[in-house]
Amino acid sequence: MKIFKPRALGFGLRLSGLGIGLPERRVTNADLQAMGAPMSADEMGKLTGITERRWAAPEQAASDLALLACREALTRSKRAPAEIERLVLGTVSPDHPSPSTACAVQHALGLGQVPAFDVSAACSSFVFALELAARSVATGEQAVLAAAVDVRSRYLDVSDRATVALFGDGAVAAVVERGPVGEGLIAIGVGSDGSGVKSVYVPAGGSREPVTAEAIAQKRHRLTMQDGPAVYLQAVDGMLDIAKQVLDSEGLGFDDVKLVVPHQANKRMLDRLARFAGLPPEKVVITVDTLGNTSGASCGLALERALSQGRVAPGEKVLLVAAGAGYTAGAALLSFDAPTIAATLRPPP
Amino acid sequence: MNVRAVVREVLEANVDDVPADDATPFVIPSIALVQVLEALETKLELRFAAKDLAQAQLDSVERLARFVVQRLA
Repeated sequence: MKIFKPRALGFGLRLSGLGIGLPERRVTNADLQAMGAPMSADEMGKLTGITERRWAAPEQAASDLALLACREALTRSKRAPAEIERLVLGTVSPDHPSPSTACAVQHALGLGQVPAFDVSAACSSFVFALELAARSVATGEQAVLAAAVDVRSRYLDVSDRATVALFGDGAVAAVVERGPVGEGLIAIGVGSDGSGVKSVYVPAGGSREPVTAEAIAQKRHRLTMQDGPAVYLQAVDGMLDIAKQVLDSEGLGFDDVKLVVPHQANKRMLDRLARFAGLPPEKVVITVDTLGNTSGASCGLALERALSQGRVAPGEKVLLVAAGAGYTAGAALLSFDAPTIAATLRPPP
Repeated sequence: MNVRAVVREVLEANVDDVPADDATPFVIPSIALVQVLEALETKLELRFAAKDLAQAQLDSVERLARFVVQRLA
């Protein structure tokens, strides 16, 4: 895996604005139980560490949530839509199989006729989008939107113990632009291992298995996770491995970062990551308890939450790390300047 | 160390209706299996990886104990 470092090209990149898009609807474990989930609310909470998650309204699609996130990112970065030269959107739950959800977002945002396209890296999607955006700015574009959105609730089978309690919906977006050398986006790496193609997947709905009445009857248009324990172990090992590679590339360790912002799969997985990385609990950002696993958007949502809560000071290093189905994994070493933090801070409720 | 006894103790702490007979297969829900594996890691100071589970059939005390012994070897 080649780790991308803007500094090696003689310049820097910064994330000048972060935005999020969350549905209003809160779904508690008791709500899931009432819908027919084969577990008690207590059991769901105990096994996953999740107490509630957000689900999109029936009329709300992935592009609607992505639009909210992109608009907020633009406002916070003080950028006009016309200044954005590319939109890279990570998702595995697009509005439609074709065309891209990014095109819907581009049109709704009023961007110019710039490249807008989807990338698919499951729960690593935001890091993959960020990496592509960084490379785009590095090769001459002025400002690029990197976003990720997932509406996994549409694919859930409420009778499936393995997945029903895990997933929530949400979106995140960041504006990537030029910045001071050695700050902002310091190093980023992404990788894939296709041995996990069927680790967490939706069997029907693609060219290998179109949706038919039979497929629907067998719930093959729903999300399935055949071997949860293996996925769980692989995801944590994948995050640890890529996080270490990115940190090593800078001669750093986990002790050198203020916060680690991991993919929010479930609380147990975050505890395992912290244990094997030797991280104290206060160093790991956790949003899974109230947002669930928002798939491609989850680590970005957690990053925005950390900034908005004032947990990061200017110049402090933050490690974003994710792993997902495929298998995929990505990590980014970041720092933020005072204007970005100030624009993201929210007053306490 | 009696690995089979440790496995039974961990299973009974995390899974309902563990059969009295070590060889009798039973269903361990996947999320509960994660708890079991983590508890075994802590108790036996080992670490499982996804590849360890590739061929493993973990549906009885006996099979789980055999799996742990192989990992400890």
